[in-house]
Amino acid sequence: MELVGCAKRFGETSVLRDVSFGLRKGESLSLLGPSGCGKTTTLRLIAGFLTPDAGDVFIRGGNVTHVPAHLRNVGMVFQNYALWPHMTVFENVAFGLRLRKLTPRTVETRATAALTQVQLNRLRDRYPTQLSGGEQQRVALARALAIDPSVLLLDEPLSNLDRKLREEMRVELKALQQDLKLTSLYVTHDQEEALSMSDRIVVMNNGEIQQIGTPRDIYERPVNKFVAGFVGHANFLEGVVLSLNGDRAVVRLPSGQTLHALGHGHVAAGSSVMAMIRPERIRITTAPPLRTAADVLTGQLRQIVYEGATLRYIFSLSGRPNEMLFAHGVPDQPPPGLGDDIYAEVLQATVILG
Amino acid sequence: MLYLIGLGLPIVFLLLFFLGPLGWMVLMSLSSQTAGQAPTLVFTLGNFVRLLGDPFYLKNTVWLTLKLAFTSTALALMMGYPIAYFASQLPSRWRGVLITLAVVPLWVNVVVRTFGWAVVLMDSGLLNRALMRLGLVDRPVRLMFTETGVLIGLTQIAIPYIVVPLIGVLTAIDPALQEAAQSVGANRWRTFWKVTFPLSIPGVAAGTLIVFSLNASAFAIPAMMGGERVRMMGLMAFQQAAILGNFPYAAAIGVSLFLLSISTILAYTGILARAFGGGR
Repeated sequence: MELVGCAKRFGETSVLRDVSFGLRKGESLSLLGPSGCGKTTTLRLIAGFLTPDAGDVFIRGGNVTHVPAHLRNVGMVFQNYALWPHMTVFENVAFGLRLRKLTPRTVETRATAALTQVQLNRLRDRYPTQLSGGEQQRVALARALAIDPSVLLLDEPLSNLDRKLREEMRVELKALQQDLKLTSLYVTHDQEEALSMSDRIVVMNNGEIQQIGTPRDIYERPVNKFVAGFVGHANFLEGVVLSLNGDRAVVRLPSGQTLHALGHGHVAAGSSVMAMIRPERIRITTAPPLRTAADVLTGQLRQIVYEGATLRYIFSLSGRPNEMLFAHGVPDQPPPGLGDDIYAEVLQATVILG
Repeated sequence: MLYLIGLGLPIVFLLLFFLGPLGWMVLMSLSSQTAGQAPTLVFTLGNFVRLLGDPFYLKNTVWLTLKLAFTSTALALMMGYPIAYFASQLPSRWRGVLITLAVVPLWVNVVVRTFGWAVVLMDSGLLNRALMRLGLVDRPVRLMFTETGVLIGLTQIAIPYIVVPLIGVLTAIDPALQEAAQSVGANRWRTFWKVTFPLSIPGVAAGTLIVFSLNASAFAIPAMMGGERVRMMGLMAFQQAAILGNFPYAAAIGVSLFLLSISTILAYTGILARAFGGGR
């Protein structure tokens, strides 16, 4: 599956600009972004519910830009499941199969197989309204899987489930994806979901692709402030690149302290950049850490927030009392007092462009 | 207290002004009357036998009434459904305009509307002149004061009652349900018949029930567009009561009409529920 240079406008507003990305066979890709970023529009272009104003859509090598939705063999799981209330679970799943020239026996076998995959065969004669949200979700999945789609599209499929169920379904969906080697495109605004579910992530904002990469790339080497801030929490420090060595950069902070950071190829020495530090990559101590290879910044502790599994330290760097940074700590050690001088050991920083 | 008044008032109103007269009419239908005298309640079924036992009345009144009510409902559904479907696809502003246009016929008084039809349908009317000018017919086709004329009138007035509830139901159908059908391979035609139409049945049921009940008891349209020839039950009841003064017989016609309507509607809703009721 591939999108090449797709653009879409609704009236005056341009909702997609030059969106291109590919999806390899068997790969699971997430489209991640805030609401209104164009990710659902992108999905609908692939499903065939919308036609791009510019650009092309390819599925299995064929240009399907102007092929109507019902001929694309694209499975879709809708956010609200979109199950047909007048059909039983089995009829919902068998519907797509009955449209193909299959014998009734084959329809029966394949629909049953799809229902078994999602462990719902025992509820096959129920109506959708008699099912829980999680069960409806599975029926929607079985319905899309039954037609053996070229691409499986999932439009925020878990967002209507409660947290616990969502996490269970995530694991199950991932297992299914791996077992069936599904080529799937997963639209979500939940960064955790995108990180845990997919081989690669496409981060979108304002109708444009911000970054395409593996979950690890996206999290650890975001290309810009938007990606860094949207995927996970981040501290940003302004600075100037002093020197470069491969993809290692040395950044001088306004406080005069220096920081070693992962760089991107396109950063030159002398340029103004941001250094991004994930809060879990900062270790806060009251005494200067001994024997460390990491950079150690000094500052004052401003606030401690207890969050159960972690403590959140809010602190400022020496000489920059108005810029708040935060770091995660473990609650088992006695915390430093507010206003104390602290040492922040930076385990990993990444250079990003403003 | 307020609750009791809110509930009690409508009940009292219905008892007093609907069920009361209805009961009175049932009793009247079981009475007998000799010309020039007051009816006496003798619990006879004679009036019903006279209506339902006579092949002439059975065919020209009872059957005619059911046939016209049914046909006008079916025609109005066939014409109203596409209008409602089209309207449901429009942005809400234009949908409002279309709904307004659809109910315009209801704003026009039945007398005025019927005269309008006369201008179009009479022997020297617009339609016949057009047909003759085009050479499609040599002589005017009789439409006014025929069953066909009444059917046209009944169908027209039925369309708004079909369209308005249907638009509501069709608009409320989640478009994702149709998209889901397309995504598994259904073309527009299949999507419509397998998804949209079954889901619109509540709207179809509401509209057709209203229309059937209204048209089965039609009075003004057969009276003005059918003349003496098309005697639907409502019209005949009126003639018996107001012209011939035979109140027991008129009441028997009324009660028969009421029972026929009710049983048709019950049978109809039963069929709908069995065919489309699953899951709801």
